[in-house]
Amino acid sequence: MWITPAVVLLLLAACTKETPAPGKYENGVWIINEGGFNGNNASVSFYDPETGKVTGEVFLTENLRPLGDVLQSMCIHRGKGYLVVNNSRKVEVVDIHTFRSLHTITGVDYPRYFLGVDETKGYLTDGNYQGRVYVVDLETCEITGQIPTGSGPEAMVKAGNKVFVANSGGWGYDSTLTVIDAVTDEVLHTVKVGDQPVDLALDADGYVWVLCQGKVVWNQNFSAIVAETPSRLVRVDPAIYEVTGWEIGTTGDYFNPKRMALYAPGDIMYFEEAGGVYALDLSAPEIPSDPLITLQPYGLEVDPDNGEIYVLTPGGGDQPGSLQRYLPNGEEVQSVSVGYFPNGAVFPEGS
Amino acid sequence: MYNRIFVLAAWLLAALYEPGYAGVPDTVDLREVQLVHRREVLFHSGQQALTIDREMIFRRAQATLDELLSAHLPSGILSYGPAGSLSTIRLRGAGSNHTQVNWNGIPLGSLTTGTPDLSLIPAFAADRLSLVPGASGSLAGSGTFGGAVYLSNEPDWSSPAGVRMKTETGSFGDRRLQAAFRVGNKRVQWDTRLIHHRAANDFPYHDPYLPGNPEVTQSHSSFRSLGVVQHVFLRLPRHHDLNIGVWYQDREKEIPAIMGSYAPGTAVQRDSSLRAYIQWRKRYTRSVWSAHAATVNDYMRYDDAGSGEDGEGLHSFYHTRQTFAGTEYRRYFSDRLMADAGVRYELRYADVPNYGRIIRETHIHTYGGLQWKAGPVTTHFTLRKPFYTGYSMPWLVSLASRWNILSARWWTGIQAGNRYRLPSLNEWYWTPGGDPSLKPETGWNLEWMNDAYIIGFEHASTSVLIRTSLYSSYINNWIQWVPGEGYWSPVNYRNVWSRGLDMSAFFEHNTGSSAIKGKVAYQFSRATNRKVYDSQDILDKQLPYIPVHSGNISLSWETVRTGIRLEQQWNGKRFTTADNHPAYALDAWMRTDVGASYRIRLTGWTVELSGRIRNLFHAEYQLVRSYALPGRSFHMSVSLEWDHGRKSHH
Repeated sequence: MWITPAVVLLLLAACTKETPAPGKYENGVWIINEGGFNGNNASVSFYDPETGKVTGEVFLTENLRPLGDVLQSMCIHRGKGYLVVNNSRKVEVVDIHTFRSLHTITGVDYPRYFLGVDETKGYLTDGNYQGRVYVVDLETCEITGQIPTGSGPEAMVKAGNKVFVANSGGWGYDSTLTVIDAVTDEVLHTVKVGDQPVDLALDADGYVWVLCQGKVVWNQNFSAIVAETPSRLVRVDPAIYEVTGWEIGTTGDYFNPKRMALYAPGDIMYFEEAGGVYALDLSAPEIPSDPLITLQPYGLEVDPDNGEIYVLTPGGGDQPGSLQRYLPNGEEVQSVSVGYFPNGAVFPEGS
Repeated sequence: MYNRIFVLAAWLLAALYEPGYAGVPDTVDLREVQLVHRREVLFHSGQQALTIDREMIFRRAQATLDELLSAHLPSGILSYGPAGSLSTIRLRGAGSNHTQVNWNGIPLGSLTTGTPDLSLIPAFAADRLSLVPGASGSLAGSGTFGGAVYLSNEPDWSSPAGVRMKTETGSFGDRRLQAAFRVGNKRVQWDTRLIHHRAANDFPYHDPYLPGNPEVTQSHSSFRSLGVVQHVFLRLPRHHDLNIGVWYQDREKEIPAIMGSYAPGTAVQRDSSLRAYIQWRKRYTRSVWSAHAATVNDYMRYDDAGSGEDGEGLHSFYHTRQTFAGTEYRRYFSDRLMADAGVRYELRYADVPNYGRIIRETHIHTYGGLQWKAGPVTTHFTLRKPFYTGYSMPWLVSLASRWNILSARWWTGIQAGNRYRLPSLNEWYWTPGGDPSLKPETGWNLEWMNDAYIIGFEHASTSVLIRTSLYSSYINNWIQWVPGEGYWSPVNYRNVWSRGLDMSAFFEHNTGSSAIKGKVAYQFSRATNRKVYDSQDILDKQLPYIPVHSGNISLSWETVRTGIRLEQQWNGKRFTTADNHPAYALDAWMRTDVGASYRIRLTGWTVELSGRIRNLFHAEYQLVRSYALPGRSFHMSVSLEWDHGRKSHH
């Protein structure tokens, strides 16, 4: 009988499954590498800010199979990582300490973002035109219900017992947030915020912040733009749904920002727009005219512990992207190579 | 008068030499010598070409162009799935839009992407195929860093009428039918062909992207295609020839999900093309004057029920058209010197929603060539100057020289020239991202070729031919789409150096009642980045999907009634990413196909029953990462052939 190296690795993996090396993936940041569309090369890298070391292909290493195609997002909830693999139409659930796969949630159509609601359930957005939020039983990893939303639901944020869903429009148009009762799973309200809301964050005062991409509407034969609106940052009072907004972009530049990151302790919002990453002081919101970082991000995050800014940029075409880490004042700390099309970073739970 | 015709015929016969599949030129019927060869055949005759003639094409009548060529170019064909899926050709380290595919002078590549889809081209649509790796830019025009494939239709004046039909049924719902009807006389020939192909493609495969590498069944992968090719060939008085051809091809295919997906695909794509040409030629004693006009209309519709802005799916549609007109003149000054010159006008039209407007472009090409024979050395020099508003296009020059060192036994030659590729319409006009200021890709190549019979000689009953080619080529300003500020844009991304070795041994043994033919080929290819627009990390890395090592073996044994054949392709490890990441490399693979046939003659008809097994050893492999391919499949076919007034071909 031939025993190939792969079989040996499998046997070793099986043997060590019960006793994972403690601390293997502790005190670090997970980098979400989306991968090229139809490339099946999505991955997760583990970045240690102390040493600057990057461990690539963590899912592949720990599970001996590729993660899949288009890792849209990742969420850590109660010791588990939820990896939303959009074009593989699945969510991989892993033990966040070992990164071993625990479950695969399937039967989802166009998964985008996961949110752990409480200890028993989570929400998963389905970004189709006729959008919805799947209710996921965290114990069985089964889909137990669906909640209708607007078009192209993307990011979610929980404010008290309400979950706000950004209806980005997906392939079409929308301008609303759907508000869901996190206890009953019923839609409480729909808030009109601005065209193509795509990202959400909760500040220290409990306000929900929304990044609206703005929209470009072409005529039927795409020969002329018939309507266009600029991108906006919007603040929503989750109690009374009062909306306050600021224009952050201009029309005519084809630029529709997708990322923002909030450093709640410092009351600073970082957002992308044409030209790079801009910083907004939420205590006295005034849209800056110059970027803090002149780098166009594909992913943008803030370390919730120290306010360091993580800018993720893709490599050209089919080569690895980079993580650039900056101090809050915009001074670069480090630049490291990660996976293909990095679109975000996830910090340890509770940090 | 007769002497002059003899000189002309001698010239053309000399130009006929084009080493074929087994290094032996096709049989030439001296009574019906084509007095004028196509320009690309004449001027590429100094280069090593793969030639597949009418008989060989009929043997593989069921094949699409990618299937036909994959047996000869194991590393050159990239199929995004089973039969009916997008298939591209990549030669000599170049990209998928770096090899031209032409049918009777009409380019078959997409005007929007510049890439020809070989799965849309049934081999049976043509009578002759010639593939020239590293074809001259001065001969073929834009986009020949990899090479050029020429498909042509030719009248068979030796037989006034004929019927050829073949039907094949195979595993996974694969059904194919080809039929050709030909009727005429010594002055006119009418040739009608019908080509039908459909498949369910519901094959099982192991999916390594799913937990446990389970066996799953491919779904949403069926397709159907229909082609109709009509030709009228006229030999008019006073040495006028007129060829008229029309080809309609239509295919609708389901696009499957990639491996590892938990949901089936939902998209459907329909491609339709209508191509037509007319070619007139007047033969004088020492010269030929010809003119042609052609049009190509391509339509594509894409529907994805699974997404879309109106909740009713995502739909897109485009229509492009190319119109050509040109004329050329060829003069035989002596039995040693020939020259020609021509001009071609091209009008491009594109109605593509994402371009934001209707595109209309005019291109003009002027070109000329010289063939000079001095003793055993034949030299070809060709020149081309394209004109396009807003661009300063380079002069394209090619020089090829071939020396017959030992008559019918040993040839050696060199070829050098520069080449270019004009950006595709998507690269120029896609909104947003398209960049009209993109520079054309440019480059040059140098190649040494050697053909030597180590046993026997050309046309001998027993022979072994060793064919060698060493090449080096540069592609500068290679265009690639890269992510930018909010959208992707094409940029002049990299400079690439491609170099390699092609080596083949052909052997043939004819006893009169049977023939054994074989080929063993090996390709070494290094294609690396020499300069990159935004990264030093991928310098000197091998380009994705170019294996360093590849090879193939074919073996056939034929008698009057029976035939068996074996083909084996081998591809070395291939990287799929620019940084050559080993985790995403594709393993080496080997595929073996076998076939057998039995032929009988019944009152003038030749009936052949044949069977083949594709992927005999059920190899699991991927040509393009994540696109499933079938394992072992079985195919049975029946063919009928009747040629009035001619004995059997076999």
